[in-house]
Amino acid sequence: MEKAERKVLIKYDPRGVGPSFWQKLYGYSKGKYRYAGLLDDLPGAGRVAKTLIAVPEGDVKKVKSFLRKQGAGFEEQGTVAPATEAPGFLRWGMPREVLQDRLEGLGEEMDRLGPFIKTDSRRDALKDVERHGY
Amino acid sequence: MATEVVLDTSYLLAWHRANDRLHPRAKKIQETLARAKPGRIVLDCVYSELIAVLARTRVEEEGRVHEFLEEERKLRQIYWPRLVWMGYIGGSDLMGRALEVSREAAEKSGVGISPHDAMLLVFCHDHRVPFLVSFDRVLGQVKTIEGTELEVLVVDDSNREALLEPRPA
Repeated sequence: MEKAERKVLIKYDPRGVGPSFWQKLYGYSKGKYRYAGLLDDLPGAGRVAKTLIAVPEGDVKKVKSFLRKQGAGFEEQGTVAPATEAPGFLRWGMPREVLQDRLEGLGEEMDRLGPFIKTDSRRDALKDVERHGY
Repeated sequence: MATEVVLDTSYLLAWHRANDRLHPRAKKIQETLARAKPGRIVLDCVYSELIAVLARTRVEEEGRVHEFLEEERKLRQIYWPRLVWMGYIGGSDLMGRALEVSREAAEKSGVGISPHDAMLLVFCHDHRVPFLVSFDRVLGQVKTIEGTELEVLVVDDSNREALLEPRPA
C-alpha cells in the first residue's frame, strides 16, 4: 500500500512544449510494453486532471525542473492532505482518458490469476455475497 | 465492442473461485471480455466487499486463515493499483445519493438494492459506462436513477454477446 504523504498540486500550461512532452511526463504503452514517464518514477505522483498533477512534496523540485526544461509554464495550486487523497489517484471524477490509461492491463492480469481460490466445499458466489456482502 | 465495463463482487468471486457453482458461467463471461477487451473497472467498494465475503467464508466458516491471507495478498497485488476510488472518498454526498437511489429503486422499479449496489449504478450513470457485469439480476431491474432512464445493461453469461456488439454512434 502507498504511504500517505502530503502532495503539491501543480497546474501546468503545455503551450510551447515539444510533441514528446506527455510521453516523457506520463509514460506510454506500445503493444504489451509500458514505458515509464517521470511521474511513474515518483511513487505517489499522479495526474488528477487534464493539466493538473499531484507530486509528493519531496519531488516538487524535480518536477518543476522537468517542466522548465520542457518549456511548460506552471504554478502551484495548493496541497492535497493525506486524508483526502486516494492511493494511485485512480478515482471518481477523474478525466476519462486518465481512467482508461490507468486501467490498462487489469484484464490481462485478472485472466492470468484466474480461479486460484480452492475452497473446501462447493460454494455459490451470489449466495455468499447476499449473506456476507453489504 | 464494449469500451468499459464495471465488474461486480459476485462476478469477481465466481471468477477467482475454482470450485464455485457460478465459475463455469464466469468463465464464459471472461472469454467474452477477453475478446471484447473493454476497460475493466473495479470500484473500491466492490473490492472491499470481495474481501469481506472472502474473510467471512474462508476464515469464519472454513477456518482457512493462512489461505485467506495469501489469497488477499494475491488479489491486492492485482487490484489495488488499479482500483477506482469512489465509495471511500465520495463522502456524505455520494452516500446521500446512493440512499436516494436505493429508495428510488424501491419506489419506481419495485426492487430492493443496497446503497453499495446503488453506488455501482451511480458510477455507471455518471461516467456513462454502458455495462455492469454481475450475476445479481435485481440490478438489471432498476429502471431509473435520479429520475432519468438508467442506460446500463447488466451482463451475465446469458447476454454476454452484447459486449461484442458494435456500439451505436
